[in-house]
Amino acid sequence: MRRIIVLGVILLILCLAAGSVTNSGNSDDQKKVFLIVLGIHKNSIDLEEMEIRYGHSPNLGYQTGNFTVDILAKNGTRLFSFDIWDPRCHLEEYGLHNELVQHELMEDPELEQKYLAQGETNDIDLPLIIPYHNDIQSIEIRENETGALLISVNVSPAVDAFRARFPRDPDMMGNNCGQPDSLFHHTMIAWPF
Amino acid sequence: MITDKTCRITWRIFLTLAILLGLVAVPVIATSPDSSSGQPSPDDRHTYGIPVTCRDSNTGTGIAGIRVYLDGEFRGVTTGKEGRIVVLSLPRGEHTVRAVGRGYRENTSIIRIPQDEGAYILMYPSKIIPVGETGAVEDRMDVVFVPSKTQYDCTKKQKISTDYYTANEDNFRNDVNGLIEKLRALNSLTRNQSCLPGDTPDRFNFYYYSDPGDYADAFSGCAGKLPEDFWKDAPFTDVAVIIYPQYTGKYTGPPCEPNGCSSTMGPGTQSWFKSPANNAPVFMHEAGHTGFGLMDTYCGETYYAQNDPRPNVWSTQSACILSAESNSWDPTYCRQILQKASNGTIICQKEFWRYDPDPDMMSYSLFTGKFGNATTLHIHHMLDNINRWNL
Repeated sequence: MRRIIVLGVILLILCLAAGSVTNSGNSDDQKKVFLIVLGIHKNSIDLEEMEIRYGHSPNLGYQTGNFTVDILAKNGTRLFSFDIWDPRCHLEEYGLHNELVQHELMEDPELEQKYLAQGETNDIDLPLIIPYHNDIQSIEIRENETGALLISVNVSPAVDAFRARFPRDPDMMGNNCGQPDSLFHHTMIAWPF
Repeated sequence: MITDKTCRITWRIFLTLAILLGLVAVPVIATSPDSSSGQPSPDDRHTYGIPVTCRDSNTGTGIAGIRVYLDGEFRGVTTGKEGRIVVLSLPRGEHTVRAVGRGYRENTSIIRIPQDEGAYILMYPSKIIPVGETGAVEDRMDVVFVPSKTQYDCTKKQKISTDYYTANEDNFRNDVNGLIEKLRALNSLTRNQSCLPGDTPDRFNFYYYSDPGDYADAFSGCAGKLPEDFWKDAPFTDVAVIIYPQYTGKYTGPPCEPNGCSSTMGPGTQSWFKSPANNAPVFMHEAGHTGFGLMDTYCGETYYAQNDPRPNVWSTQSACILSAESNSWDPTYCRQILQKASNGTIICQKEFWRYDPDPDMMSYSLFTGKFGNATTLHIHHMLDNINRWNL
């Protein structure tokens, strides 16, 4: 009988140890991002895709650009704000073989380096990657020059979809967010160029 | 002294705890009520234990050490050659099993209880391969190199397909290593070589992207086109670099210049640039834009703004002079961005001012250029503040 008791106690300790492990894991594995793909067009900007994925976000806040991204909390306060570059504009340079050739070319305006404003003709996607935070409710993008609101994205549908797949993710537990706006998941606003 | 009664009590406690922990596959009350009556149906009262097996997609062998998450909750690590773990206490219904392991892409599988007897998850090699020692993603600037499947034929004056990288990953790795060495030696490209932090080489994480089914196209648009799933595979990327092999054919002038192009001004959101693998100055100039947010200082149809804080271009002369004085630099170096023809006439003039003397890396003189005081101060600021934001 004593052997059974000893064995039972050992197993019990192992069980408790196993139980404690089930709640840990690698916290790095549970980092998440909002991946929001915006379609930027000549006269408008709209939401093409939005989801929460496991992963890390890139650096935010060190781009010079024409747009400002505001991350808003559930109570409407601004959590974070940063500028982003207009993805339709690219900067091109030629690596010339020597300074002499370069100076000759400089006198020909046709061959000057170009600032390519592709927006006149091109539609382009802008994948916006924002770190997940429980308190994020919406993300707004404004044009710096005019302050005009270009798009407001409610992230609730992405949170609900993620919670349905991963209901026991620590960030999804005990976080009973409000129901998503059934009419408008995002608001598209005309963007006059 | 242990009595029989003590033994019975201890044994009952053990059994109760074991059942609660799901170690014994016996019926327990499930939490979801029967939808019609509001009471748990007999079937809903059961929980189940199922094996989860993680196998390498190439070899088919089990993988040890894969972390398994059930519905987002950590459930343990696969062990042994079988790469197997038994996940217990599963109620009826659909569940998401997610497997994560070093060197592999994470993978998820949906299992249906009680129909499925187990989950078999194939683990595919990661597309993101670290180069050298890497630190935490949050602490460093994460630079990901991507191979191009195209290059430029100077004789035909058109882009052509190339298998230089796609057929031989060693070629790509060698070129990547060469460019990494240039970036690690950033301090040697500054005029005052003590201005950047001493641990500058350790402020970066380097990776390369490897997907045999999807490569970048360096000659699609100005900055090239990244692989379709790049941002989903590597959302943490601060700067992506598409590199392409050197031009082929006979050089006859533009458009056959080895050119670079940046998608943004500064790291982070959708930041990438393209660069020829064999042209370090172009690489460093574009890295100046995309990695460090530096403005061009030549006069041309490019983008200008005062890139605060610690700018390398100012929107007024007085702002430039103020910066110079506050940093104990010679303010007489502040000058307007302009370009003169050989006869002295001004052919280009901008309402912006610059400080760094020529040859300047952010001007035309790439091949002999250096990062001057202003650009170096801006780079220092970026290195010190990368990922230092908080929500």
